[in-house]
This record gives sequence, C-alpha cells and structure tokens, in this order.
Amino acid sequence: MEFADTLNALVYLLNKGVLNAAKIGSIYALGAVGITLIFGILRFAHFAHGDMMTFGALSAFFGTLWLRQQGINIEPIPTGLLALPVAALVTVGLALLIDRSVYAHFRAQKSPPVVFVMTSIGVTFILQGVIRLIGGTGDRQFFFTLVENGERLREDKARLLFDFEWLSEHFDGFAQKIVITAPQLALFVFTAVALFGLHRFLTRTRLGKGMRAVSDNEDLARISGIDVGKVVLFTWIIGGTLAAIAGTLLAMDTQYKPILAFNLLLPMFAAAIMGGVGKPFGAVAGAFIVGLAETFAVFDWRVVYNFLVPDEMHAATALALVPAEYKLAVPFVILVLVLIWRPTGIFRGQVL
Amino acid sequence: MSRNAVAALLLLALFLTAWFALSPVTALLYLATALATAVIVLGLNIQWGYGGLFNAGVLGFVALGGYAVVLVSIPPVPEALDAGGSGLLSAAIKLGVTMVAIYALARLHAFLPNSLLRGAQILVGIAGYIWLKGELDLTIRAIETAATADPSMRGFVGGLGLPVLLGWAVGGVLAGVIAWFIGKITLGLRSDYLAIATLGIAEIIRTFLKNADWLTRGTLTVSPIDWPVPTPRDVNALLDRGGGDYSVAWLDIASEQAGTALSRIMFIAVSAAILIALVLLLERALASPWGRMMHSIRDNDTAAAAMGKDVVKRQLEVFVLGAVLMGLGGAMLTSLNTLFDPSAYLPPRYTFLIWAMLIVGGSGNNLGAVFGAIFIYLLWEMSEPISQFLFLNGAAVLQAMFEGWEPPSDLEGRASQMRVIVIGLALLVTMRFAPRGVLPERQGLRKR
Repeated sequence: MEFADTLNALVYLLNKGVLNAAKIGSIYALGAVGITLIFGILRFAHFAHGDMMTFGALSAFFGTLWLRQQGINIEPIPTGLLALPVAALVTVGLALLIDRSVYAHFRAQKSPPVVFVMTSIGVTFILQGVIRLIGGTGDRQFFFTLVENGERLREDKARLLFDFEWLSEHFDGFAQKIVITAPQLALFVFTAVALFGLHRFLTRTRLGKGMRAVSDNEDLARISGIDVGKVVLFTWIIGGTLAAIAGTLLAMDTQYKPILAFNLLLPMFAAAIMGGVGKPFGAVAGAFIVGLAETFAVFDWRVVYNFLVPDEMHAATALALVPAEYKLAVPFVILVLVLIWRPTGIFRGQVL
Repeated sequence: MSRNAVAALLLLALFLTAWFALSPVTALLYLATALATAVIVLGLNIQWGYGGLFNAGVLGFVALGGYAVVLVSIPPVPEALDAGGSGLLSAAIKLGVTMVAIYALARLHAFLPNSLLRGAQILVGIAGYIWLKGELDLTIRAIETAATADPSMRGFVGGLGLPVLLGWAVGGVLAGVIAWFIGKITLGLRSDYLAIATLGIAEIIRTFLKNADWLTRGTLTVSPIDWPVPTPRDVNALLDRGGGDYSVAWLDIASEQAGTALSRIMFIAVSAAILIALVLLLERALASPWGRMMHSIRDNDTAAAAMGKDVVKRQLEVFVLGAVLMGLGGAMLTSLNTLFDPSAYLPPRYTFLIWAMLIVGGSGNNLGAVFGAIFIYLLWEMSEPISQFLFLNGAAVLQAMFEGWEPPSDLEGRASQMRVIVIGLALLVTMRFAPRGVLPERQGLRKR
C-alpha cells in the first residue's frame, strides 16, 4: 500500500461521502430549524413546511425564467441565486397569508395542538394542489439557455474542481478530484451564514431573546411585556426564508419536482424531534446526524477498501451497511433509537 | 331530523350522484373502497378517539394488512421454498433469539440503571441484525436465483394458498402483533414525539415491504388477489354462459355491467356486515366500564393512574386493537383492488387522508368515523371528474374569449390536482366551523 493510495481513499471519501452528507445535512438543517422554531413557539408540528420549500423553489424557478427572458445574467452566478431573494419574499408572504387566514383563528381560540396539526395537514393538501396547478406536474431544470422560440436547452452547472495537482506531482498514482457545483457551494455558504446569523439573532437581540422566552413559556413571556404577535410574525419570516433557500438550492442541485420537499419532510421532522422540540441547534445537530447516517449507511465502501488493501484482496461486490433502497428508512431507525435512549431528544426538548 | 339522518342523506345523495353521473359500477367500486377504508378509520378512532394516542403511522398497519392477504392467499412457489426455506427458518430463529435476549434484558431493570439497560438493548439489537444479515443475504440470493416452473414467479417465495377470508383475519392479527412491539417501544413517548416516531416506523415498514422482493415482489406487485365472494370475472363468465339480457333499465345498469355490479354488491354486503358488527361491538365496549376507563385515561392520564389504572398497559391495548382494525381494513382494500402494490402506500393517501376522515367525521364517535370515511372518500374520488369537466370547459370558454390563448398542454393532469385542494378545504372548513367533527362525540364529555 502506498501513501498515494491512502490519499486517494481519503479524497474519494471526502468527495463522495462527506460532501454528500454535508449537502443533504445542510438542506435538512435549513428546514428542520424552521420546523423546530414553529414547534417551539406556535406549539404544533407544521406538516406544510415541506410544501413551503417546494413553493419557494417553484417561485425561484419562475423568477429565473423571467430573468432569463429579460436577458439578465451575471456570470458566473447562477441565475437561480439572483431569483432567490424574490422567492424568499414570496414564500414569507405565503407563510404569513396562511398564518393570518388559517392559524391565527385557532390561536385566538387557544385550540389544542392537534387542531393545528390537522389544519396544517389541510394546508399541505391545498398547497400540494396549488403547486401542481400553477407549476404543472413535470420536472423543471434550473440551468438552461433560452433559444429563440422560447424553448429551454439544458446547460451544465458551473463547478469548482479541485484536482490537487501539487499533490499528484509528489505522489505517483494520486488521481482523485473533488467537485463542488455552484449550487452546492451556495448551499454551504448560505447554511453557514444563516445558522450563524440565527445564533446571533437568538442570543443577542431583544426580539431573538423574546422568541426564546415565548418558546419556554408563552404566558410568562406575555406578562413580561414581550410582543407575542411580533414573535409569531418573525417565526414565520425566519421559517419561510430558510424554507425558500433550502427548497431553491435543492432544486438547483438536482431539479425542481412537485414532490421535491414532501420527501424531505419526514427526515426533517426526524431531525427536529431528534434534537429536541424547540431547540434550533438541536435541530441542526439532528439534521447533520440524519444526513451523515443516511449517506454512510448506504455508502459503498468498496472503492475506499480497494485503495487500502493489496490488489489480491480487492472486493468485487458492494460493501454497504444496508442496501441503497433502504436509504429512506435509515433516519427513522436512528430516530427511534435516539428516542428510546432519550425520550425528548438529544438536547431534552419541550413536551407540548 | 337528527344530525345522523342528515349525514346519512348526504352520503346517499353523493352516492346517487356518482351512480347516475358517472356509472353504477364506478359508484359501487367507490362504496366498496369507502367501506373498507371506514374499517381503517374505526381503528384510528379507537387509538385517537378512545385512547388519545397520536398515531401518524396508519399506513404501516394498512400495508401490513395488505401483505397478509398475499401471504395467506397466494399459492406457494415450491422451488423458491426448496432453495431458501431452511435459510428463512434459521433466520427466523435467530430473530427470535435476539428478541428474547432483548426482552430478557428488560427483566433486569431492577439491577441496572435505565440508560445502561436501553443502551445494552440497542447493542444487542444491532448485534442480532449483523448475526442475521449474513444468513439472510445468502438465502435471499438462493431464492432469487432458483429457477421456477412459472418464470413470472421467479425470486418470490409466494404465500400459503389458503382462502382469502383467512387472509383478512391474518391481516388484522399481523398488524396487531407488530403494533404490540411498536407500542412497547414508543408508547412511553409524549404526544408529538409519539406521532413522529410512529410516522418513522411506518416509513420503515413501507420501505421494507417495497424492497423485500423475495417476500412481497416489491415494485413488481402481486396480482391477482382473490375476493371472498365471486369476482367480477367469475360472475361475468357465469352470466355469459346464461346468455340472457341482464340490463336493469331503471337503475341504469347495462347488460355487460350486470356481472360486475352483482359481484361488487356481494363484496359490499360482506364489508358492510363486518363494519356493522365492528361498530356494534365498539359501541358496547365504549359503554362498558372499560370504555369509561379509556375515556378517563384519555382525558387525564395522571388522575387515572392515581386511581390505580395501569395507563401504559391500557394504552398498549387500544394501540393494538386499533392496529388490528387498520390491518383488517388494509387487507380488505388489497383484496378489493386484486393487487398488492407496496409502493402505493404513501403518507398523504394512507395516513393524512385517514386522519382527515376521522377529524371531519368526528373523533370519539364511531358513526362519525364511518361517516367521515365514506364522505371524504366519495369527495376524493368525485372531485376529480368534476374538476376535469370544469377545467376543460373553462379552457374552451377562455379560448373562445381570448383568441390565441393556449391552455397548458397538461391541463388534465393539473385538473386532477383539484382533489387534494377539495379535501384540504373540507378539512379546514370543518376545523373552523365544527372543530369536533360533523357528528361530534356524545355525552358532553369535555372536548380536547
């Protein structure tokens, strides 16, 4: 075994394993933080969160289309990112509209949580219908060039390539590369900035501290003079913005589908519950645990293994912990195990 | 007129609309499906309405019930059993040993701190999985490669080849047994934690059934599955031999539909008998001391525990009982469709829609659950043709008004999405104006 092969194995692991886990973990984190904030402050499981993400992605797609039609294009920034602020605004608008027209009534009635859960399921149904009604049932690509008759041709994503030439000069046989596409890079940057910003907001600002207070004890927060209405407003603003960012970046990384985020909803809930209800950074931890677990449970270790052992010991068949088809079940196995170990999540969340 | 009578008339009106606007056989199919679904909703009513357990994993039990029909009624594939039978048996023994070990650990709770015990149980479980996996992988490969006389059955172990009605019963039993294990693990959890845990376990069950091709044929699906009564094909063959004219003019039944209609009516009769028996039994249970005890646990479990009631045990009881009905309903649905397709079990259709049925109908009230199931199911099916009609005509009108306007090419596909919007609206309207459902729980028990 040569040192170059060890490097090969490491870089391969980084490229195919860690990077994918970080990507899906970031998406989950952006969604799960919103879910756990709503859980903690409004006190219900918001089942429509996944569809808010899809809605954000759809509005970003229409924004991208419009920008391209106007001929606006700033290289090398993907046009989808230019449309993102508008998509976030539209998604926040939708969230506030739903809150005012549906949830506010039940809040005023002081309805029990199950009423909110059921209404959020109703909202999910309606949103899924509306999304398909205006966006159609097909898939849509974010990377395209417009040709004259208005047709869209697929275009390759801008990408960063690290081929570590300086390493292969020193070590014979080192040939692995790391590839990060523009949406992935944007995702990592946005996630880091958003989570850092959220941390500062929740710990340093008056409003953020107010949000935590309402999450801990609403009545006590109210008589201490905290404006609960404003806290609710900002919960939706933060949740909606993060949902739009996550949905759009996921759609840019793969493609827009009407069921884009509904598939993510269950793992995101697993992440939020795993971290403990009402604990934003518990949700982030849960999200990355889920992302890592589902990536590495189905990760095929064969290539890494073959780099590390002599040729005659090479494995021919896949070396995965569980078959790839079971990827979707992995987060829930972890969730159930965590809940057996700690019934209110890793960071001891609230019981509503 | 009582509320129940109005509700019944509403259902009759919807049914007759389907009968005359669509077709008699379609309306009968909708009704048969609605009755089977009503059994599932009754099961959820036991868990939530009687027991206050937030089970968001309905689809797992429905799918298990569906699989049980395959297990019981599909003929075995002898070649696959020759190749893998002994391996499956030894894997099952290993699974049993692992579970006994986990159970034995639980008996040690007097000597070990709880966290250590849980950790040890999880470790034993993982060790058991690894121990079992090697053998199971080999067995599955043997089954998949065994040559079969019927090439379409290759890689599938088949079932037992017994009558399908037994499969319905086994559907309930299988779902109940699995629910006992799930309840043992999760019923210590509170409200939302329980909901998400059950949601997750249902996903695990679904993923397993979808991918265990050797056991369920996965995405290849299993069909045909038998009916407990003569299927439309049987009855049609019989009528063809008779050769007469079987049309019923005043009921709008054409001669070639008569066999299908007759067969579906027989299916509906069996389903309705099961449903009525269940409702009567459940009403009796609810009025018994057991029912009052369940109410007290649901409304205040601390007080009930202080009175000496074993809350966890009773909750496990209702969880299992509810799951039995869900399994039975799932088995009936699979039989009705004559098809077991594990990838069709999706949360919106088999968990959220079931919840919508219970909430709209009125949780805590068995008649409400039955009403909700039939009403929402008919609404779900009928909103599609109605919106297709409205959309296509609307598009034609718009095209006439604005020249050069082209409707989107996938207009029909988009119109079919109206059904989820209709159900969502029905749910929201009910929550707003009748939060306890159309037929609320009786006796003025305090609302939740």
